[in-house]
Amino acid sequence: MAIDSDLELMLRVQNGDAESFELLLNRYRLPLVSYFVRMVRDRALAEDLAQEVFLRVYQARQRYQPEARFTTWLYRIATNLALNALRDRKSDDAPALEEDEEGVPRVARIADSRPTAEEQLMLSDRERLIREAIESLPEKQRAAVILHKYQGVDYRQIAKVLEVSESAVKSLLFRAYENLRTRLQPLLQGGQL
Amino acid sequence: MISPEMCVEREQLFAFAHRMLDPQEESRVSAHLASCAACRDAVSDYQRLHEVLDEWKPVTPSPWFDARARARVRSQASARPAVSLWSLAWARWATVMAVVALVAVSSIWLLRGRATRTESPARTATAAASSPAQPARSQAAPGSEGATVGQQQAVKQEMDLYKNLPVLENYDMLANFDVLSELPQAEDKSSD
Repeated sequence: MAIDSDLELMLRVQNGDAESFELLLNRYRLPLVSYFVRMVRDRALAEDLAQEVFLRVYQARQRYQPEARFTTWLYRIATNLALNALRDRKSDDAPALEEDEEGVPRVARIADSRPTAEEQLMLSDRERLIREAIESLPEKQRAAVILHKYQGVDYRQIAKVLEVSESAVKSLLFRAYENLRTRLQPLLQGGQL
Repeated sequence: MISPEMCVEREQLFAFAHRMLDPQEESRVSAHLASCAACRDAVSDYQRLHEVLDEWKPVTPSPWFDARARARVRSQASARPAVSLWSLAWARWATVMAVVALVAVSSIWLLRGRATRTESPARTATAAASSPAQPARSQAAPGSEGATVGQQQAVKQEMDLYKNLPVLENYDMLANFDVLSELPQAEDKSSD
């Protein structure tokens, strides 16, 4: 049995097919929740934002243009929501937040960036180091790296998601990976923590 | 070809490692890497970085995620009947046509009302100017020098008569009113 493409499913959703919407929900539930958890850290907020993406897809189903890839549209909605959530949090925590010269938030000082007891048990030290390194990136670098590395979105599509040029995305990714390479040097050298 | 002495820029090595170069650039960097250990190390650094980043595993959504997502979509779907009516093409056209018709009828009604108001003072003025002129002419006919003055007086008298309409109801006065018999007397008085 052939697997329906996202486009076919979305066109059926436009015609009111609830089953196709259910298939999209199953297909993108895990990628979206993972994306938001990596972007905003807070798991409850991440799930709330992922549900909001599905709601917005449903609301905008009649306006969906099949020229663009479904995932581009999906991740554009998701990225805008994630960036807004980060900005909201930033303004709430404004006095507690400090940034370095490049506008990189000093993550270790963010009150809610500390892992919960459950997370402490689940994460290895290495994993925590990686997470903190990614969370230390400026918002757009973080979004670009997570889309590129964890969501499997290529740089051309990332340019469409972030609505910037392809060369801007190349440069954004280069700076992001360079930051990570520097921060994760102990792990790259094969050392055990 | 890039010589081993002239190393490739770090950003180009990054682009090479992530397959972001066009085929021509890629083959040039590839040829350089064959003879430059430092640049090969830099490329393998990026590959190691990717392996390390893979250690951050994705999370599994909570068991109630789907139920909550469905509930939000359902509540949204049931909360919008008015909007779905508007989305029907016939409803939109009917509304637009009704508004256009209303505007057209109102405009015609307003224009007609304005035309009537501008016409009626003109008609009154014409009537006022033409009707008193006839008796005035008949009075001026004798050819006296004060014909114009006489005409004006006659018009004035007639206008006064119109204004004092109850006079017309006085039958006795009207029965004894003889313009021709009055005129010689006035002439006699003036000759005295």
